[in-house]
Amino acid sequence: MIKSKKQKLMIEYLLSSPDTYIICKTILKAEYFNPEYRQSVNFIHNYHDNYNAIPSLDLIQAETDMKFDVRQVTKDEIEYCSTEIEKFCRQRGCEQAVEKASLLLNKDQPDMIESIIKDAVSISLNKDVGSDYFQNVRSRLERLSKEPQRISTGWSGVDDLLGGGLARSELILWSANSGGGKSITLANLAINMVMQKLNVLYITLELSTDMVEQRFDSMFTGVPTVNWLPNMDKIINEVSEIGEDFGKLIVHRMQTGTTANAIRGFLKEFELKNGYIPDLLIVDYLDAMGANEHVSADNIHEKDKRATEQLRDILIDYSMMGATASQQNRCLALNTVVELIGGVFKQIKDVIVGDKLFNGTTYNSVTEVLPTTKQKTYKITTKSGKEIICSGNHKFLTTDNQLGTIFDGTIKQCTKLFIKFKILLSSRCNKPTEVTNMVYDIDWFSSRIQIENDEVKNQILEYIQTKHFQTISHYDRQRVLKIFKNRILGNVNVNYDIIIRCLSIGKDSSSLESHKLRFGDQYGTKKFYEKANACKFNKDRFVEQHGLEKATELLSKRGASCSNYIERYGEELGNIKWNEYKTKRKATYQSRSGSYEKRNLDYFIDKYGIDKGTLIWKNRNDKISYKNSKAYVLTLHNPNIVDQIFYKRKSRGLQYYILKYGATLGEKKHNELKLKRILYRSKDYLIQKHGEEHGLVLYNQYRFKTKKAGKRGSKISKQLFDAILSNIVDVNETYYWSQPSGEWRISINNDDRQLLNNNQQNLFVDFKYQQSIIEFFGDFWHANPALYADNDICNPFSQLTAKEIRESDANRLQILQQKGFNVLVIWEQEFRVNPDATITKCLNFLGIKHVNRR
Amino acid sequence: MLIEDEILTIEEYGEIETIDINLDGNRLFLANGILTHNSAIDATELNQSHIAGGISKVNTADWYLSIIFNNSMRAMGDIIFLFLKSRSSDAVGKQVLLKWVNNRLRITDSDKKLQSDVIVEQVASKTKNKSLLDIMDL
Repeated sequence: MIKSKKQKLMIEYLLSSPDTYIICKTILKAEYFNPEYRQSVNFIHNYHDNYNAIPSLDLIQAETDMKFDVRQVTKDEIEYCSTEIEKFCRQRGCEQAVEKASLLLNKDQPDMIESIIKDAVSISLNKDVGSDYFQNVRSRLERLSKEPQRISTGWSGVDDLLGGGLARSELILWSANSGGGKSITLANLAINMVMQKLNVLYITLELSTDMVEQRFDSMFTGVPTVNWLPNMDKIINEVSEIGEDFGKLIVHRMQTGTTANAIRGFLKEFELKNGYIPDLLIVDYLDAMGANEHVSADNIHEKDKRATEQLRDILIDYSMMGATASQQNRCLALNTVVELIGGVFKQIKDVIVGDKLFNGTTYNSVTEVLPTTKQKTYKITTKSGKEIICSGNHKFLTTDNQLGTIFDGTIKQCTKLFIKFKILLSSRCNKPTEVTNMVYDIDWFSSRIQIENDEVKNQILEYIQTKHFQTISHYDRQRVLKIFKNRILGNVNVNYDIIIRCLSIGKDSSSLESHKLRFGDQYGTKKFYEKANACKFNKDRFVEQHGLEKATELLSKRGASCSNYIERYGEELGNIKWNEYKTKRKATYQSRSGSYEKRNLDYFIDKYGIDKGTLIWKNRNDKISYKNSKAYVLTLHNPNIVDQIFYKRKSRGLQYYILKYGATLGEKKHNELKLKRILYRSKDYLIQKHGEEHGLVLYNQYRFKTKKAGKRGSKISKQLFDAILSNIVDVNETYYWSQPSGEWRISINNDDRQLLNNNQQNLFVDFKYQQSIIEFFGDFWHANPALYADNDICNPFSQLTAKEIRESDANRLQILQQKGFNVLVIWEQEFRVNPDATITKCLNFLGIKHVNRR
Repeated sequence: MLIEDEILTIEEYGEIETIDINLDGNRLFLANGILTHNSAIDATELNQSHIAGGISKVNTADWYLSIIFNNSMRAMGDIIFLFLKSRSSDAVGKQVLLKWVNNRLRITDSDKKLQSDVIVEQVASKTKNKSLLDIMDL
């Protein structure tokens, strides 16, 4: 930490000498000073920026409450002052950088640390005032003459053109087609340099180290790379022998996408370990290198630019020579369609050497097919809908007779290209890349429509070159050409308006009107009637075939029935025809509705055997029941509609009618239907309709179908009551829920309802004989005091405690007794334990003699 | 029958696999019905724009040479370096014929001599605008 006093002294120096201030201004920052001085420094900076002068001491004191003194600074002292301030700034900068770096380390951003520290360390005053060209001629040239300027590449021809060879810090770039000798050239350069006792670092981003070294083996010894195994000893001897005379050759493999920073890091390590820096750095190859910064994968242009610049920076920093290589190509997408001799079409990836490609007038044969490469492409679309995907440097012939590319700007929007006119005769082939064999030219067309007349042919050719023809869709072109041909053959003048009208008629092309338009009035009507007459089911044909009498008879009986068929074709043939017709109909019906036969269990067992059949049937039922479930229907429709569907399917309750007809009308309808249903199921109505016997059966069926009648009592109570009933002679006096005569009910008033806490109009009883009532209480539902304590909740559906249930039951019995009935309560447990005693108990209660013991 | 057609749009399509072919004659062929020129590079008409990814790399490099080396040249034992950029000499457009030693994978100085005048003429003629007929005659 620099003492506060010294900091003050620094500021005083700055204030005293404007020259010092101007020299140091660029590196001087307020944050380097103690907090009390920061405001002053900032104020001085601002003041100087605005007025180009240093503020007076009074002004500073007024603004910042700090008092400084002015010192005498001589010219000699300026240098001392500026170096002091430089030192001070650098020290403070470093201190702060270290603090910042530790923060960054905590934040897990160590990448930034290097640059921060580097910046801080390099804080210095710029004392280099440039080189004076006229004064330093001698020293410059002498300095240069000491080190060899250019180093031979080993190829005299190349050296001549390079001006003697490669210089340090220079980057030489080769380009070739893929497989065109890039790596080999770089390896050769490496060997040439090594032979001059220079050290070479060969970084390979593509090939493995072994592969590169095997190439070197071959270059030094002359043994082809394939035959290294039998010549192993020779290679070992020769290479180790020559190694002593040559420079060092280091081969290092790095990953594809390696950045300049990674190479820098490797060089640092290399320097530390080996104690020297290579003279030549070879990167094989440039396209496989990545940029230090993250660049979008699509933007190869930017990535390459940065990678190259960063590589060059390394060369300058280390004063090395650099050599690298890059791809060169002008390419087309693999699915581009080219035309071969004889109108055959091929995708360009299938083209082989020797194929003859058509260029509109002549044919050129393919001399070379190069390997595929991945690169950035552009899609060109022309007015007529032609599309081509190509790289930025693929050449096109423009109508100005120039060869241009997208990169050099000759190919841009509105540039006119040459295209081959093709007629696409299928609606399916809108994309040129998909057409291959579906593309037809005019020659094909003329051969297809068999025009012998040259005049007609010329007329058609003239027409299809018009703009109108090119703007309509491919499918319409086909139709237009047909219409066109027909009009010409019908000796009608060609009028494009009419053709457009024909197109607008579209599907209704068999009408008389369309015929007239297409072929002219006269020829069109003739054609239309020709076509109509050719129709199979036609009165004239019948007359012709069967004679007038029979034809009229047949026509009157046109329906498809067995008798009609027999009448028409005779018995034998008629039956066959009828069966054919039937199966045909059945098939069409089946295909339409999905299932024709009834798919019950028997059907499946017949078809698949018992095990598999039942399984399939079960699965099918599950599927159907799931498909009918509300949960599934909810997934298909919105809830409102689902409600509608569901009420329709399940029950026609009030809600369904309200949904269907609205509130008022729905309620009305519902009530009507309710009354109707009650009427239709009434005893009188059914007896009247079906007779006494059958009517009663139906009535009982309906009654037991309803929930209330069926589920009023339990099975065990039925056992008891049936036993009692078998002892009763006067059956008509008894009422009990399982009896055809029906349950018995008594109406109750409001007070009773309140007592029971219930809205029921009537009170149902289990068994009634004359003025006696037997109530059968289930242990569970009525909370048998022998089984349940007062606070138990024995019935989970009601949430009432046992005590409450018993109270309500007691009330019920009380009401019944008030009405003048004798009531006996039988508990389920009682009956289960001792049924016979219970039955006698009941019979005694009812005052009936025990006749038929159970 | 070739007719004129105007370009409506040129849009970037992304990175895809591409292929080159090389033709004889006037080197023109129909691709998707559009008349285009030889895909692969030919020695007589190389320039800086042929480098993959565009010219950015060439801008930074001090020397830019193109390697002209195809199957027939491989068989003949020839390889040519064509200078396309130089910072401090008049080498641009000049070619160097070197010897390709196939069994050693070596590139060495060649005994053969290129007729440099002819090359210069050839290269110079490329820079001029050519008519379609000229190209057809090549």
